[in-house]
Amino acid sequence: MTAQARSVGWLVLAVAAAVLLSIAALAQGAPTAEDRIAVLNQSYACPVCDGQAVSESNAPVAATIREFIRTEVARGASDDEIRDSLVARYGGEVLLRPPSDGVSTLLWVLPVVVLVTGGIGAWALFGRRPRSNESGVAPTVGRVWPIAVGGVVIAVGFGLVLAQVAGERGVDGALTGEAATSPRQMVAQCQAMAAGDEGLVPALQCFDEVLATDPTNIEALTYRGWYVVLAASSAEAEGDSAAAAELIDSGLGYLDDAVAIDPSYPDARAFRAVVYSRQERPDEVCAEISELRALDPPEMMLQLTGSIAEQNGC
Amino acid sequence: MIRWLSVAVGATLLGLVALLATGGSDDDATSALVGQRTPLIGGITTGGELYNIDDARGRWVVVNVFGSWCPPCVDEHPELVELDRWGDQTGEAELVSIAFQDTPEGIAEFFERYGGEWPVLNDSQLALQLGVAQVPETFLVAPSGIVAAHWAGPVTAEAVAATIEALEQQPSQEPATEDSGS
Repeated sequence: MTAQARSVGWLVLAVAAAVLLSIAALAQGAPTAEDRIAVLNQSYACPVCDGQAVSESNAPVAATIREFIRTEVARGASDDEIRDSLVARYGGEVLLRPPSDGVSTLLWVLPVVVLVTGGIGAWALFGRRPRSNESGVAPTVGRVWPIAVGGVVIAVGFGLVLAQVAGERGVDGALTGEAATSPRQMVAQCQAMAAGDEGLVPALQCFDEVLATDPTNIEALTYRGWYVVLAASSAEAEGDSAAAAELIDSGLGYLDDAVAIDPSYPDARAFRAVVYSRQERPDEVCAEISELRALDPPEMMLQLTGSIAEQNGC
Repeated sequence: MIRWLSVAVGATLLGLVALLATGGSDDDATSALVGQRTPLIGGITTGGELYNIDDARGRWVVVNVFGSWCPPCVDEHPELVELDRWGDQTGEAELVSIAFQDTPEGIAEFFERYGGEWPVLNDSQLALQLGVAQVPETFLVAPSGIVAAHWAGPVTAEAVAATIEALEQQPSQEPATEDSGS
């Protein structure tokens, strides 16, 4: 076998390895929610910990981000939505690993290209020269070219695989730019509207749109009810007690529907406890909180109802 | 050819070094919220009342994020008590606190020991909505609902009052172009 044939053989082997790695990376099964949470917790930097992942940090803000990630995953938010929320609040520095799309891909690809190309260059410069000198023949440019080009192709391939596997994509396997918007995604958008600049009215309209296509969506029912309850406090502040009471009743109706559809959804239980407390119905408050505690609810819901439970002697 | 290959590798390496050297993080403490409408700050207070920051539209609202476990927050608290008193007397401003990674017991003991009576929301996720990384942090929300100023670290009553007075001199209560805090 000639030296050139051996080189081609190595090249084919390396390309095959790169292709297999790519297939293996893309063919992984769908991860569980806990897998997603674990990977996401490793993907974001604690904002006050100098590059430490939130999964490894004991800082309060890291705990808060972990809670946020868990809640968002349970809510059905995509990795992109979680990333966008965190970047909007803490800036790009919260990304522990650069995203694997666009210009950022270069950050993954270039180092591998440089490493492999540099290695080939060094081998071509120093590794082959003694043999050439021994034979008295000058190094052949024609032999170096295919090896160099092949090496760069392999390096780019490995870089792209690395970006796909180690970059942000790959947590839930979701590709960016999904055309369809699921009811869950729409609920997330409605909640973002309520928490963002748009205010409550567009958010309530947004929930109505979700419910028009998915009338039993418990998240839409629950949060529509809750935001109506919050709107009641505005009416009360303006001295309109009748409107406030009407809004509370309306919000409670949505919460009742949510509980009827899924009695195990903790957010609806927690919000209903708040409404009952406001309506001075201590027995119902304690019953709801008892149900809530049995559901292993998110910490946020326990915090929300903590003072109410105390006040009502639950 | 080998020489050109080496030059190309060297140039790429230099480019990478330059990219890494100039792509450092932005270490200033500015909040992206300044100049934006405040996120919805609402929920059940530790006193069991419904709170919604929109109810305070037309007044200045000082939103303080703190932790009962946080020594700088203890140091800051007398300033907030004074600020609350000033707000009550002048009708200029009201105060709301958001407890960060705290417990109802811790908050109750904190206010019992250091004083103060204003709404407290025990909700770390609200702090996350504000982009809070380290307590104490304080946001000043204008009567229009726009976040007008932000302080990272302990705040003084004098600084907040001065900021409110300065912003009131401006025709449309435009937010400060930069954070007022450190």
